[in-house]
Amino acid sequence: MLGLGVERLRADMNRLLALLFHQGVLDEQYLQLQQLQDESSPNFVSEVVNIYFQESEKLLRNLRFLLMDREFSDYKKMGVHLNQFIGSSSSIGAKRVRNVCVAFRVASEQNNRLGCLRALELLEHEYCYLKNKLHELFQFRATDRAAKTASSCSQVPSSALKQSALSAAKQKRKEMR
Amino acid sequence: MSRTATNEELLNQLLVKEKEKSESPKGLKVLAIDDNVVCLKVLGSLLQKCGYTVTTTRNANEALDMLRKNQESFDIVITDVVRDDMDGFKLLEAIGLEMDIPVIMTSANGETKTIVEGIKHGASDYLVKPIKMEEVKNIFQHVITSNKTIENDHSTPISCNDTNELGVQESSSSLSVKRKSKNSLLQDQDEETNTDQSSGESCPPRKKNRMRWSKELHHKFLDAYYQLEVDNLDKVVPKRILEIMNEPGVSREKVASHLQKFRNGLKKQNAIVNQDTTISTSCNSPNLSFTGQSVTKPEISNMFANQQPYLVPRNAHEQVLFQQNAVNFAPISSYSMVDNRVSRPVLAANAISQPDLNGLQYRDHNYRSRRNMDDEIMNNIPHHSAFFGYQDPVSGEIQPVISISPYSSGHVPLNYVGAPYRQMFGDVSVSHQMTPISPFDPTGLVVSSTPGQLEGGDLVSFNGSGIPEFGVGANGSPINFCGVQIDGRNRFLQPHNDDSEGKRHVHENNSIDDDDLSTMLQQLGYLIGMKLLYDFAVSGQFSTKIVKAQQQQVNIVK
Repeated sequence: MLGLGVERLRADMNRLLALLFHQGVLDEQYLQLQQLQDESSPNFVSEVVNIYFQESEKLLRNLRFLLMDREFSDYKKMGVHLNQFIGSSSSIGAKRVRNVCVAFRVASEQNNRLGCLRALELLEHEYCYLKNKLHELFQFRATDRAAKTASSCSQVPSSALKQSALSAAKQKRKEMR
Repeated sequence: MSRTATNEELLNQLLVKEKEKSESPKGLKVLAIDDNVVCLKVLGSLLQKCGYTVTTTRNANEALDMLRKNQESFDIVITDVVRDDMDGFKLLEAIGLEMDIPVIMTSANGETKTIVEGIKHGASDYLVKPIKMEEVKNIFQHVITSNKTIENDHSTPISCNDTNELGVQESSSSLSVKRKSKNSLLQDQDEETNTDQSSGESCPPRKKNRMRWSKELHHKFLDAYYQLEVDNLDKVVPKRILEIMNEPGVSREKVASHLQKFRNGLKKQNAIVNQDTTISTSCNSPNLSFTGQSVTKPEISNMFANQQPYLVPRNAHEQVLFQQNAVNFAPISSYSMVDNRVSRPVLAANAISQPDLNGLQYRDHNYRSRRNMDDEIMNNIPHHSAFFGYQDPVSGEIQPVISISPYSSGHVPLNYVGAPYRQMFGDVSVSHQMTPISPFDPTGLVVSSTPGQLEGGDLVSFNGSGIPEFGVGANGSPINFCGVQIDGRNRFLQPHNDDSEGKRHVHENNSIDDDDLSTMLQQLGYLIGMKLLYDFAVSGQFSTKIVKAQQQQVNIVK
């Protein structure tokens, strides 16, 4: 029963990951990130991704602020922000966000305000999608790890764990919709 | 007793292992600088995974402080390009100026323009984000490259002092030329060039406090050297040279290293002379020496145009280097070598037996006749004076190519090749100095007989009909020959009345076989002018075929 639950959890996780790859949300850089996670840094991926979220939100805020200034939009500064965004996105393997950023940067280089606004909206959308999906993924992983420790201790009732994981996943999906 | 022995063995083994460890890429100390926290974290982790010792920082100034305080501890620096506090390129330049550490740039911007700019600023490598494991694994090679450079620096200590003089060769010449000089490690000059080149790639701006042997300084040095040499060879020591030079800015060490370099140059020349007797005989008789070109192929296209790599930056990248280097880079190797001969009045007797295939040099008694002939040509065929100058592509100044060295007491080197001695010697305004014809081949041993084989060896070309072509060549090098202006400004050829000497050495040409002769003749014809050739030919020393050909040419010229 216990083993089955963990297996299912993993299968779900893999399916989600496969979906994200298929959609082009993530790319192989994310796998490299996972490879970097080892005993010395067990939470490396989630640490990095959390920093990424913080930074990205800051950047998105700045970008929106810059674009809201109707009279004078500092396209150069926008470009710098976008470069940062591109760098961090590509580092964690957020392919689609990165692509939108590139388009955004092109628009900013052309001083194309309308294009920038459109790109910003798209970027926000993509970013939210990515964030939700990654959270989901981490939820799975956390549950997985908890299950592992539980199985090694063989004390914690597995069904409860599995239940919590599944409910969390469902909740996430609902949120997303 | 045996215990201590085993202990020692163990220790040795450990030491060996430690040494291996430090030599392997694993132990490299890397400083990673990135504005972007996410990238920095990922990069740091990647580096650690690859076995490097990593220090990460977001702040460029902090990184610079770290580097300044403890230069040796870092083997390589990885920095991003776009940052808020300091432009990555500025940081790169700062690092390049102050220390000898390879720098790798990273950026999310993968535009070719930016990459080119990064490399131009002296980056060893440019990694486009996302940085991949494979790329990080391989960064150690840049450390090895730079270490090699440092080793070279040690083997030729002078290069440390003289590294300001980056030969114009590598800054503006083609890649194949670089390789050529790299492969032929015949000479210190080459090594030095390589050193400069590779370090120039990693950090183009030299260290600030390095001394530069300007031409005035070198002349003072030579004055002192020969003054002492006349007295007694044993007395030629750096200290005394320094005393005579009376230059407050020059330290004894600098003089010592310069002296060593200078003596090496002298030795090498002698070695060259001994090695190649055929060349020396052929050059002894008329005391005309030049790089060979086959006379059987008069269709050599625009010989001067082939000089172009030295004069003209061929692309944007070279242009920048060119401009950067134009003032600072004067290869001590090339001019000291030349100066050895130029300014050795004491050893003038020796000089005759030292042919210089690269620079046309006329020594002692016969330089007068040469000059005389040259003068004749200048007078008779005025437009031929175009040979003797070119317009500096950088400054637009007209530069005389033939010049009489200020140290021409014993013999006068005449160089007919438009090598850009502004670049070669640093400041052109000081004095006229002869330049070696072929910077690729400072030894002068390689004499090419195939047109085009020696890229820089050609001077002036003839088209098929035997009409000399001046000016812009087939490959569009913007060389302007403005001989008239030069005439007015620089009296590098002085009139001389000793006519009889003009043909004195012609008869000595008997021993030279036709091929050599043809080669020489070709050069001569192109270099000096048809009149001279005609004189030579009429003297009856050459095969009739050549005489005919030359007569034709002369007729055309006339």
